[in-house]
Amino acid sequence: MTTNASGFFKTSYASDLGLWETPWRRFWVLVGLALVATFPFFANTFWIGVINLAAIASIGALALNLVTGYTGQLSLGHAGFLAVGSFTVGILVGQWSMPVWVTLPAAIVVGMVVGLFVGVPSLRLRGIYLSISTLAAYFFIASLATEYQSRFSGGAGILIPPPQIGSWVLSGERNWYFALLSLTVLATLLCLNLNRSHIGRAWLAIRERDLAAAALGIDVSSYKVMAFVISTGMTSLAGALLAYYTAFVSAEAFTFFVTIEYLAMILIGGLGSVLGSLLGALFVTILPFLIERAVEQFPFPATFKTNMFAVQNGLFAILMLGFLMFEPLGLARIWGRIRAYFELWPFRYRPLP
Amino acid sequence: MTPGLRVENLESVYNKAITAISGVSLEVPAGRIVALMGVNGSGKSTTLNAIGGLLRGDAQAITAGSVHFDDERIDGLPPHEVVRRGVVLVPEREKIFETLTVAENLQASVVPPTVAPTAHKQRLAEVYELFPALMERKRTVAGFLSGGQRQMLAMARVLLCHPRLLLVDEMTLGLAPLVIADLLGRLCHMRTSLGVSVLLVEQNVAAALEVADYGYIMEKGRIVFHGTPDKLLAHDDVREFYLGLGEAGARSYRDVKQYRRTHRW
Repeated sequence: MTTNASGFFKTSYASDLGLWETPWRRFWVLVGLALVATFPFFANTFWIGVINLAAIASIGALALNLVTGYTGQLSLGHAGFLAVGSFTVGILVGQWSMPVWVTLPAAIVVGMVVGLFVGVPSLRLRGIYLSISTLAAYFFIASLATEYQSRFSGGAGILIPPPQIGSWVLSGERNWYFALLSLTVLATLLCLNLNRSHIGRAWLAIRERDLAAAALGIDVSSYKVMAFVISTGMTSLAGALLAYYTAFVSAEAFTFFVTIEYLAMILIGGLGSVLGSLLGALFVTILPFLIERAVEQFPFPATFKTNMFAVQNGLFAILMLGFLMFEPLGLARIWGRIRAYFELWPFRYRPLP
Repeated sequence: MTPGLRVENLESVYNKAITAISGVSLEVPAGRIVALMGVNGSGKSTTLNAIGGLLRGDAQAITAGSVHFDDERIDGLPPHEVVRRGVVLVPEREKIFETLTVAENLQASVVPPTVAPTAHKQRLAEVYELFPALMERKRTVAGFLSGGQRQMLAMARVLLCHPRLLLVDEMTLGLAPLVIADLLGRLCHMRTSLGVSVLLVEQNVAAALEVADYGYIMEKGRIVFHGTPDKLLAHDDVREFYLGLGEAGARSYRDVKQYRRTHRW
């Protein structure tokens, strides 16, 4: 591994803040990306589908990480913000048959407006009180969605035709894979760049100590609202993609459990880490399928197979607890440790700076 | 019409019930170090937070008086607007971002839009020169710093906001005498090399008066006495109650309370 920072000395503040720590880092990231791009050529359709779901989840998790991991404001309304995106697509396509290049930007804009409304209480509320206000926003959105569904689509969900640009129709798991992968890469780049800009630094300062941040000249309230606006915009995009990918919009898909799942993603991945959000989304999305396969493969009692959901939820809970207790910084920290091991070998730890 | 900070008849009431400070007037002329001293709960920090714009919300508010900086009224402005005008506060506690590295802490400061990027780079170099210990520990997580280094980091970070007036709250709290002397020396150095004036809140009267050009003493939310360090150091009551150098021999606590009740400066 030559991603080691040693040997590369930063000679300017700009390079200190650069996106790539070393040229080698860029090389390895590009190699990794190339490997990821070859995935659909040897995996079967089922697993490509799972990864597609994980890609959508990554965008949602990155968004939640902006507001909860970076700005430190626990948001409990994530399922609601996903529903905003899905229903924007559902309404625009269902009522007016709008094309995809209208509905996706519309979903982002609607999400941002919702974020503005949800973020405004953060001007006055802090900590757990703010979390409860986001929870209230979730229930508000969820009941609106249910109401819309029962009034305008006869109680069932809304069917969404596959996205179409001109005469080209996006269909097939492999095409979806590349579309979603590129969007995830864009979302990741957006997050990375936000985090190394003054916006990200202000968010970190607010998370650490909002009083000290205010004393340093950071406009705490507008940066908090900005975090909510950007985050809900991205979440809404993830919801819109979910609507197109599953070809179906229904209020029942956005239970409060979805919020918990997304919180689990960023917790298991590691709060305040872009890599962590990606790993966490991948992990939490794949886990139920892995558990299912494991139960089928090994001679577990038959009750396990008939109560698959209970088994999955139970294992999920145990994993969450395990991460909170033994690795609070999540998968990102584990990856960091693995990297440090190879970087420093044969030494065990870095010298004191 | 002198440049600098002018506080007039400031009053602050907590929870609409407890008067924290009342009738506080003080001045910090440009380029001077002024000390604000007093015992615990005398209202020093409240005064400082009021100037810095941190007394906001229902529980704490400025109820009367005014704060002018360079003849511009700054009370009622949100904290980031106060900082933008060059008045920057170093809080007493909770001042550094513990999970960020030293370099990241220094990047958190908001640079006023009027400052050119080159000027900021130069300021960064100056700050590292002023605090070499921080340069050595650039990549260290700030939570691992010692108390004195944290204080240095807090001061360095504030200097990157390009302040013209620093409000320093209890800089010497919990630090060894030698570290205090070192930090106060750096403060004097900053004043001359970077041209900032300082309002220093201190309980450590002896240390504060060594560097200050002027001193105010607060008690029970009011300014009870002020003057140049020579005048303060010569004053019997200051010697008695703040420096422990009374000629009358050690008095008991009851004597002091009785004295304060009857004799209000």
